[in-house]
Amino acid sequence: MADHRTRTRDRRLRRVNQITAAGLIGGAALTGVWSVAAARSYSGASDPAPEEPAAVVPETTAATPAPTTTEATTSTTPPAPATTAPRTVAGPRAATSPSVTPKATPTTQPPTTRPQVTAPTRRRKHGAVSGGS
Amino acid sequence: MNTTTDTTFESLTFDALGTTVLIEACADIAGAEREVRAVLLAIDAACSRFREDSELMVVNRSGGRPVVLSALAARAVRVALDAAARTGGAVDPTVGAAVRTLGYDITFEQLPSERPPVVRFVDTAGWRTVRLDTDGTVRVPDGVVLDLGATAKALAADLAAERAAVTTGHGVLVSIGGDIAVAGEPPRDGWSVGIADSHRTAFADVDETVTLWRGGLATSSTTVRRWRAGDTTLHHIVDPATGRPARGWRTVTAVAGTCVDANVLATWGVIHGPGGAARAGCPYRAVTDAGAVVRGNGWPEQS
Repeated sequence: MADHRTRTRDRRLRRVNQITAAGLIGGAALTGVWSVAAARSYSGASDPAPEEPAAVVPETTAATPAPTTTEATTSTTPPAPATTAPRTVAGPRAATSPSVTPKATPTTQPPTTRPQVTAPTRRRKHGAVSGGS
Repeated sequence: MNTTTDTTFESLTFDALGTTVLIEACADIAGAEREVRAVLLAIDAACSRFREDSELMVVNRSGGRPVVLSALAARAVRVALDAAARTGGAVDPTVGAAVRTLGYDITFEQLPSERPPVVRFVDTAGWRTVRLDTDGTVRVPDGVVLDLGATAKALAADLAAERAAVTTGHGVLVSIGGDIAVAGEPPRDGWSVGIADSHRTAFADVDETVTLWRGGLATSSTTVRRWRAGDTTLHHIVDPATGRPARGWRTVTAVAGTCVDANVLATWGVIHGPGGAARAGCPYRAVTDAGAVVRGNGWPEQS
């Protein structure tokens, strides 16, 4: 009777050992996989993201930090609905394109290395006057 | 409207935005005038402090509620806030309440030369209290009064000159109360600009003359838009730090890539001296209250 109980205990212990060994091997394998993935991620060598479509941001917007010069590009965007308070529309022009469209960059300035302001080249009778207004 | 013809350009003057507008064009002055007037009308509707229906007045009456602006008005507010940020708050659009408190609460043409004494000066709320979203929604706290006066005129000059030059295909100079922007191919001898305390000075009587080739040139001065309040003489350039008219520098002129930048440097110069223009690397001329003249960064010496 005692031998039977001893054999039964030994069989259970071997079973536990087998399960434990399998668990250890599986755990070690998972640890290895995760370590490799983490190392690749930190080194920037992770799998490349799918290629993005060509940028659709207008050149003027891409060249300037938001939000300081984004009015020109937001002029055609409908305003977001009010969230915390009613919004007042300043005038009938607010919902339409302005009659004066800001230009991103001057296009008519000829390239030049000349100083921006110089001494008078000749005496004129007429000219603009800059002074307080 | 007055029209003049020089050998290299035509010019005309008229009144708008509470000041004098001058257009000089190498050709097609009528085409240039049409474009400039369109810009001035739009700026006036957006930014006037004296039109009840302007977008600016809607904002100033909003009581802190959000207001959706047109693209042009939003740009004008953004330009003013950028000016404040770049000058450390010296050129601040929230000085409107301080200016009103000094007595400048109607157009200058309507302003009596004698006003009641100022019994208190108002602290400026500060430009950081203004919130402008990228969709053009602006929130101004109740009681804060925006005044876009200086930068809006300069912005109008930039937009008008550029638009006129592009449309006509010729070089154009636009001066709005002495805030000058040029665009397109300049005349062979450049644009001749006289410098004086007041833009109404006759060209023959200016203090100095320079030739401007591109960009903008602007002058701010405490000698104009002055009035009496009790036994004190006040003017319209207010130091946001004190709520009082600036002192120390009488007239400052700056040259920059745009009229807006030149105007900001000039106004900053009247409030804090020409250090800002000096650090920006822009040519400048500054006159102290005592009349001493300082020039820097390539401002042409006078012969």
